[in-house]
Amino acid sequence: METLFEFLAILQIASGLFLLWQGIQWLAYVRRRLHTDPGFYAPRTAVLCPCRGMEPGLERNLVSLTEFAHAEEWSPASSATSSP
Amino acid sequence: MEPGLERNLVSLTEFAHQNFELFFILASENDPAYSLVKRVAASSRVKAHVVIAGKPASSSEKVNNLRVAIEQLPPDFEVLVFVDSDGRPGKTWLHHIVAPLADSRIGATTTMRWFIPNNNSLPNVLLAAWNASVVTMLGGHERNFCWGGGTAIRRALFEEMGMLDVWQNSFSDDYSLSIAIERTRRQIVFLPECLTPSYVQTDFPSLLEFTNRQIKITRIYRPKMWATAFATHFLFCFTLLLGLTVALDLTVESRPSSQVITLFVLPLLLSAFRGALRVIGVTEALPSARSEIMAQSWIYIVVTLLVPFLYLLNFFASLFGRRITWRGIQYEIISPDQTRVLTP
Repeated sequence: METLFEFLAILQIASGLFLLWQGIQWLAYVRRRLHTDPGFYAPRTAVLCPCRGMEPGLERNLVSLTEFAHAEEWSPASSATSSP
Repeated sequence: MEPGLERNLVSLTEFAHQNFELFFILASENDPAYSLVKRVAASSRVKAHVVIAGKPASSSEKVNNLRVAIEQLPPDFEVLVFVDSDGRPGKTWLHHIVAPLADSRIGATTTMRWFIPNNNSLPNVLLAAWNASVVTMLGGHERNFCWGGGTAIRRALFEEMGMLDVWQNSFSDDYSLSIAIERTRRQIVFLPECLTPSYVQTDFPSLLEFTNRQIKITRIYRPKMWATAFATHFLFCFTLLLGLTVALDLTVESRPSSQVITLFVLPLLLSAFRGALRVIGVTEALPSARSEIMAQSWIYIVVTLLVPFLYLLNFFASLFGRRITWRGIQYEIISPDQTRVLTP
């Protein structure tokens, strides 16, 4: 039983190390995305929210959908891009 | 100086609110949320509609609600965005989820919920930790799937894929959509900047109903993914339980057990590290909820260690039957494209 456990535990450690590596890659992806300029594309959009029954915080959740605004992080002044 | 430069630059700073309209969809005017939804729609700064979809015949109520609303949409809407009523996205969420669709190679953009418990009861923290592991399944790879609570897609592609027909008999809006997009060989792009906080309050029966439902849907729509995840969680839990037994035996027999304990602890430690990486990423993506998430970071790092056992329970529960209860309605999912509504 001890040998079986040792074998399985080593498998789990190997798998855990692989998943940890994936976690590091995931964090790098998150950081990369957070520094990505979303761009200007803002076509006419239908936001569809199916609802059923009451739930805690429902009103606050629905109100948040009515408050969408265009991202304000980008402005001409903060852009490093220039053209001749 | 270019002619009109000032006006051009000023116009870039004057983007008004995102060009969108809201559609709240309910099956019936008798829904307890109806009056609240009407009130929110009436006081909305943007145009908000309340659509009554009627009862589903051969799909889940959520899918039927979406189908009916999309069928009634005026043709000038170019993009469809699906959201859930239990999420609380930030102000720039919509812009961030729609803007990448400018690239026509992208099939859809998607994100995921991040559960923030309203209190630290065991069912609440288990649910939050259970869901946290799903967030890292999405990333900068080609194995992403759509989450129905936050997905954007160009309407032209949605129609080209015949999604209204696909959804006609479907239980799962997001799995069906993901499979259809995969067939077009387009990307599903995960946007961590759109992670959606969802404040949860649950009890044990609701926790089990929710988690069992998710895994049962996965078994029907993604059998390979389900089988792999089942095997992975089974092995993890079996190894830990075996390790505990071996360590106890060695202790009782007064034999040295430090090696076994080390092997027992290491996988847990690695899992906790992974949980910590998730918390770091999510707090960076959700700066407005950073203090709440940090205050509860132990949930996502320590409670995460118990989550494989909850998953294992879900996997065993999902082995039997195809009946699912969702928000009070019982369904039978006969296949990915055949659903029977069992109770009104």
